[in-house]
Amino acid sequence: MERKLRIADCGLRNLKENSFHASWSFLGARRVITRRPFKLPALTGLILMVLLVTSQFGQAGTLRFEPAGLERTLFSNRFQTLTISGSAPEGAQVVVKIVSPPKAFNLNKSGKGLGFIWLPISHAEIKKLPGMYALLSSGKLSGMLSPEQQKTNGLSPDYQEIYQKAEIHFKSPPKEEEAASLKKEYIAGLIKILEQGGLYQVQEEAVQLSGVQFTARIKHPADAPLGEYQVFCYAVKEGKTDLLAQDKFQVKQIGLAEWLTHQAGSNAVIYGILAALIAVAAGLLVGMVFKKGGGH
Amino acid sequence: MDIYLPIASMSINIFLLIGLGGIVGFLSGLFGVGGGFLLTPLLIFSGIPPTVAAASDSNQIVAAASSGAYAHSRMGNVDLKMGIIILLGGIVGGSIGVQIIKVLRVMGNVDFVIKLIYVIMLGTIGGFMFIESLNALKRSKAQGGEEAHPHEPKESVVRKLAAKLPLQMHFEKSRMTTSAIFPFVLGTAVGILAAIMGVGGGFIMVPSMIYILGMPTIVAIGTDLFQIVLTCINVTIQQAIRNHTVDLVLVILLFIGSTIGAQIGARVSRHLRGEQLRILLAVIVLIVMVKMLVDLLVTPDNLISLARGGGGH
Repeated sequence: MERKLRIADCGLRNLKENSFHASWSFLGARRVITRRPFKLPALTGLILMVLLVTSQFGQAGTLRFEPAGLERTLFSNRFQTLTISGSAPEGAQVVVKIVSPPKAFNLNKSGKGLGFIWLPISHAEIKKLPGMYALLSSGKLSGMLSPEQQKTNGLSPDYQEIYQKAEIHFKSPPKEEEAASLKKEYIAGLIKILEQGGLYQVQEEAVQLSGVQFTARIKHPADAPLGEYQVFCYAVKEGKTDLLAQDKFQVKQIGLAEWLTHQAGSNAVIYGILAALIAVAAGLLVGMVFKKGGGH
Repeated sequence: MDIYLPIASMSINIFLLIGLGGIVGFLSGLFGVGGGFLLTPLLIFSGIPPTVAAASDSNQIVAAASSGAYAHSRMGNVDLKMGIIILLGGIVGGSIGVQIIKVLRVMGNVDFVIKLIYVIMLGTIGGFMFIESLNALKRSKAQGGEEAHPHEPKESVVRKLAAKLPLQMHFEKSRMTTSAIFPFVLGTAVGILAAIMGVGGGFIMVPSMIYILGMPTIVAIGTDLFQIVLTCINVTIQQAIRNHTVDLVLVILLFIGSTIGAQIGARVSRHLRGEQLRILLAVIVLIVMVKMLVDLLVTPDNLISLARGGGGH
């Protein structure tokens, strides 16, 4: 119920952001609201209409997360599955985008030195990129949207959005004419690394549609960042894209995992001494049990 | 079955970690050496971030070495005076090494330098051990199967030079008199290498104590274990404070594996002869060296790589 209200609120916010000029082609009749001076009857009518529209929008855009958030314990697997489901307008394709909190990446580019050995020849830091990014769709994105539309809506299977968002800082600034291609090369290389670890993923035809219901399952890697993840759900029909809903879920450590991370970060001195004492005690105990020493 | 490492922030197969600890512990028990120089690269090959691998390995070494140091001290094999001087040198060297790592990290070359030093050190030590053990095997065959005793180390030029330096001291347990500067400098040099490579340094220190300082083998091993325990306690606490990279869950799993492996290794070692053991260890060291050398020579799949901090102790 609370989530439904939040989505309805999201719909209302979208209406406000559109300066009372909104249209919903999937919701039956095309509705257009234009700005007028507020008067009581008009305002009442407007509120009633907004409630009517947002309740319809809320039904179409409700998101459900199963589980509600991801919790990492000491026994968490390499991948946790999160199911995102909701309803979409009849006949529309659905695209789900999941974006983690941003992260900075320090990168090296290798080149040949002395003619035979591979060593770092340039360095860069890339900022403002999500540590995890996933794009799941119910069909082929190329069949739904033109490359230009994909780019405009941030729904490119070749991560155009990432290339646009990335901020790069070279340790030794390259020549002006080389900067753009070098930036592209760094980002492409980083995406390849992150794809290999499952941190960046594009899964076309992975969103299941059943009538007006859709379901997307995301495999969330354990080394993905902790924090608040944004989820964007889009409905695509006849080349038009509508943001159905925007919601978020949390990824956090719990139990002993959370306690250890907290101690290592906030009580580092005590944690370090404790780690050393545990090791000495364990070593002496083993030494006494086996009555012989190991080597080093 | 996976386990989540909260500091490394990743999940990994629990049996893989116990197995890695077991392999290194087995070699430890078999050859009487540590395994830091093998464990850190093996953890990195398994996907553990290098900073976490190096820091957690140093904590694991505290556990592994303290049982050995305890046993050796009861047997009177620890030269405390020598150990403290080497330890002081090691602390100075470790601090210099950490500064070198910091500079390399800023330059972005730390991974490359660590790999290069590994290749040089493992290649030199592995090659030396291999040739020495091969000669011992040949001598043993010539003597009709009797185990050949390694040659007594000759008095090195360095030792002759040390005799002329000030601060001459007598080390009773090691049955030698030399300048305190000599073991201090040796400790510093090994400390620098150990800090850059992220290992305890036993595989460099023990041969250095025997061949350069001229200490009796058993006292060298006992004294080395003593100074390693203290050095690695210092490194563990420093890493925990400065880098927050000690993963206790990883340490405990590695230690469980290495304890079991060390006991098996110690039992197997009774059935093998000294030169056979040394040649086997040399081969393992050379295999690790070749793997690292290949990484430096073969064209990488991706020219872009994540710059990770390395080193540790």
